[in-house]
Amino acid sequence: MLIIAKHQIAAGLKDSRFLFLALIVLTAFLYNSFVYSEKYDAGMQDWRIAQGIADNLLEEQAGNLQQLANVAQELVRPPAALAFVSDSGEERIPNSIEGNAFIVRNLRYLTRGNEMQSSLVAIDWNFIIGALMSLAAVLLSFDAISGEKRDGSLRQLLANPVSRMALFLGKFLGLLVVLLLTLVAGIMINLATGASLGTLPLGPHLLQIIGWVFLLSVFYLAFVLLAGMAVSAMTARPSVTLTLLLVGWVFMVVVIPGAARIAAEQAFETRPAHDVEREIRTTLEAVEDSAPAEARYSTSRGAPNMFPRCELVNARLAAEVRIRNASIAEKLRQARAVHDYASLSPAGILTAAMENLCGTGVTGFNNLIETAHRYRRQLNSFVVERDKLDAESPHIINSWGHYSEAGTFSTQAVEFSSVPRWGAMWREGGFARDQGFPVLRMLLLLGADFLMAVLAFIALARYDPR
Amino acid sequence: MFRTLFRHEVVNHLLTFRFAAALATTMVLVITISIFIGGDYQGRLDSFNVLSERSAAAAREARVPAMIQPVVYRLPSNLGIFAQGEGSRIGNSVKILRWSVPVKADDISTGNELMAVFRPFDMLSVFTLIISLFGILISHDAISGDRERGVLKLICANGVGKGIVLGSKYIAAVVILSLPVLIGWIGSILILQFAFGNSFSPAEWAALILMLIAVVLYGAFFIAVGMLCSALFRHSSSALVLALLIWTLAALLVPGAAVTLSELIEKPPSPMEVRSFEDDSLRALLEKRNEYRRSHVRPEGMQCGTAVGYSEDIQVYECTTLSPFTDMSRSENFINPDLWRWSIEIFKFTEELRQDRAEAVFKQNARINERKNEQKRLADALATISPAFQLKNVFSACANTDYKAQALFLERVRRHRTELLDGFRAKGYFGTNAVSFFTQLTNDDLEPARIERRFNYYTSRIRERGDVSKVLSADNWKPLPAELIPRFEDFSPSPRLDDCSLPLGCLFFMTALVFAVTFVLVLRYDVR
Repeated sequence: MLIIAKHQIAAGLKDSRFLFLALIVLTAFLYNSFVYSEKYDAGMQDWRIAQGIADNLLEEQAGNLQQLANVAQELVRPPAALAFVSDSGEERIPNSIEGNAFIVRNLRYLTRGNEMQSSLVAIDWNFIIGALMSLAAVLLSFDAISGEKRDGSLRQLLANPVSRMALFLGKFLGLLVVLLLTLVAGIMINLATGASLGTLPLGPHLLQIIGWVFLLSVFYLAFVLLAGMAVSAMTARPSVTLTLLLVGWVFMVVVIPGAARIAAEQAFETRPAHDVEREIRTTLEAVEDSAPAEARYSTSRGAPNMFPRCELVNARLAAEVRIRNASIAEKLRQARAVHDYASLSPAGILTAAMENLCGTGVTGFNNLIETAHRYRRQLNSFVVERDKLDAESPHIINSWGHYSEAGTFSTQAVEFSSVPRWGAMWREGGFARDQGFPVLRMLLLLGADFLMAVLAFIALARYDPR
Repeated sequence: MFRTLFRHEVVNHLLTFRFAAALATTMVLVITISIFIGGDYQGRLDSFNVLSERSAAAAREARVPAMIQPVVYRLPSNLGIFAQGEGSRIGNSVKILRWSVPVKADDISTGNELMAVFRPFDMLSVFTLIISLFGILISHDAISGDRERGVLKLICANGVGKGIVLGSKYIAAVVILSLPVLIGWIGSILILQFAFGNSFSPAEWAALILMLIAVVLYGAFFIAVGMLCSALFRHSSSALVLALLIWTLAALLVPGAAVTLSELIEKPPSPMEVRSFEDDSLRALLEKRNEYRRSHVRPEGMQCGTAVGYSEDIQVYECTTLSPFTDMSRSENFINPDLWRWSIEIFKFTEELRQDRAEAVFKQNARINERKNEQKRLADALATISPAFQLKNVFSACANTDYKAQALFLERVRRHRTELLDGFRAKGYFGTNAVSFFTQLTNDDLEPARIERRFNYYTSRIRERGDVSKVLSADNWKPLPAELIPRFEDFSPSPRLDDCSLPLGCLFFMTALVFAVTFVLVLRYDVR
């Protein structure tokens, strides 16, 4: 087996196919590091400016606890340091949301993305490994068995005391090593360039994630190689093998993920923003109508209608929060469904797992929403605690929206340094918390590898050299 | 001899597994997409009709100008199934507001901004990949394969010119590749027409034909590439690898690289530029307004809904919010005639400021958009050599799902907004006062001589009804006259057939160039 593997490696490294493919892959990795270093640097600049503006706003409002609670802050997610691994539309999806101590709402975009540009492929690791290297795997493996059948060398090989298992494993390992050499070289070039440009925070945490991405990539490329060998073992002519494999590749990389999107859109509907706003308006009107008459007037500290008015305001807020949360949950459900359906394809599994690890795309958006809610609760608790220190406050913590009425909770000043800040919610690299490891997707890939290996071996085992 | 060779090539190709795979794959994908996306288009059309009617009905029910915030929608593109393009990630509706000039659409047609993470899947995706791959597959061994088998030597030994051999092979390959395209195209149109009831205008039929021609040209380019590689190498496997590498560059890498390269060269504008401008201009406006309010002291006894601090020095509530409406929206303020007069003066001043600010913000956004346009033009120039990019341009122009079509829609929306606002101003609504925003009272009604009478009327009604809100709510007025609220004409631009000429020309030129190089190589080819 080892001799076969060594022979395969040597043949692969000398093959012009490998040289051409390696050149393209390595160039893509190098290009990727330049492009994304620049993007991350620019994104962090914008984020720091946004944080500065947010801090100034908070500082201005710190003179009045009620103002502080109500001021609408723009809560911006920092750029993902690992967007070069899995871009997932980082510049095309909302990355900020408005929030105060009572509610988060109004998604916004604070990116340098140019919506006029065509929505073409991003050259991230997901593309390089998922599309380019898998294509390379197809080109390297399509004639692994059928080529030898055509040349007659397979018959000669099997005439020697070489077990089919050894032959199978030797060829597979040889091809895998050739591919992995390219992958490792590409990753090293990419990380070294990123580190030398000095813009990416490649600390232990990020490097650990990159390690997991590498492992996923190995399993993914192994699947493609095994599929190549399986089809190669089943067909007599390399041209037929290649045709089948290229069709399979197109289905794996493009068709299944594309169909997953269409299926998810059909299975899970989402409502347009104006519909949601309309529902909010109608619901709030209904809440108002059902409230007692005195609750519909403005109030102030000690006014006779203070309590009913405050109850109404809180009821309106609760209704709005419920509808907005449901709308965001709808969007996340639909987007997650795309990933789930696309997991029928190993390329879809790779994409979803990379996005999950790197905290980009749908995962990044979910992080934004969860962190915004956590921040809101933190700020709300801060307001409640500080309000308790004001003996003259009626302690009715209300949201008055963008304006505030004097008096139902404390209007005392607070120290700005004690106010919870949005920027402190985020770890380096743009993570809010540990992303966790996509165990299920890894197991799916492993399972697919195993099945394909069994198929390939059976096809080879059944080959009759006579 | 040409015809003989041509027929021979066609028959040979028809009997290959490659052709069967191309036909089967194209048919399955085209039909599946037609069924699913065709159904999706119907859904979006139904949704458009419902939403547009709802918006128009809400406008018809409006009793006071404050209720006029129409949402206008863009008709989904009839040919969007062929190229979803940017249509799935840029908005298709705009809410018309008084204080801002729309620069981009508000809403995503799918209702889910997160779908921008996923690439659209449409006919263009299928043809970009499948047709080009099959073009390579059927042509990569056209010359080298015959040479390997010794067939080329035999043919040339019979006095057949190498040019004729190449020409017949090339045209046969183009015809063979066009068959699945044509069958798929016809199948798709039949499904759209008979299963979903789509009908196409003459311009749309012309667009369909142009798109079909573009796909055939696109396939012809890759056939030429395959034959070039076949002529360069003795072995078909080497030719195939080079051809696939060229395919990877032309169909996958170059378009994406062009976008990112353009972002490196023409740095995209920072979003903070617009935000800072918006914030700074808002602060400046508030400062001027508050200064004006300080010099025009608020009447005594007024309930202030917006005060955040009472200034002892000048005995005025300092207000940091923009909306003067908040004062007037409080019903009990209606019974204070001095407040009406005061509010009219303030509003006369602030309305000009707000309009100026809206225009200034719009111009700032327009400057930013121009920079983004520069970046896009650079990306387009860099991607010119990619046939996939040119094919996309033809499809997007025909289907009107690109940003240019969006820009036309926004231009129409801005004109509609101007028409709406001018109509109200001409009738004397909210020209110079806040009051008429929440009532149907025009400037004439608020002449000093009439205000006292108006207030006496309201005060007596309030005493009768005992509830301020019952007297002063918008329900008291009849709906505003329909002529004040023009309907937004459904807007779906015709396919931009003129915009197809350049990309089609590029496709033709690239194909001709590659074929010419192949021709020269083959003429010099040593068949031995």
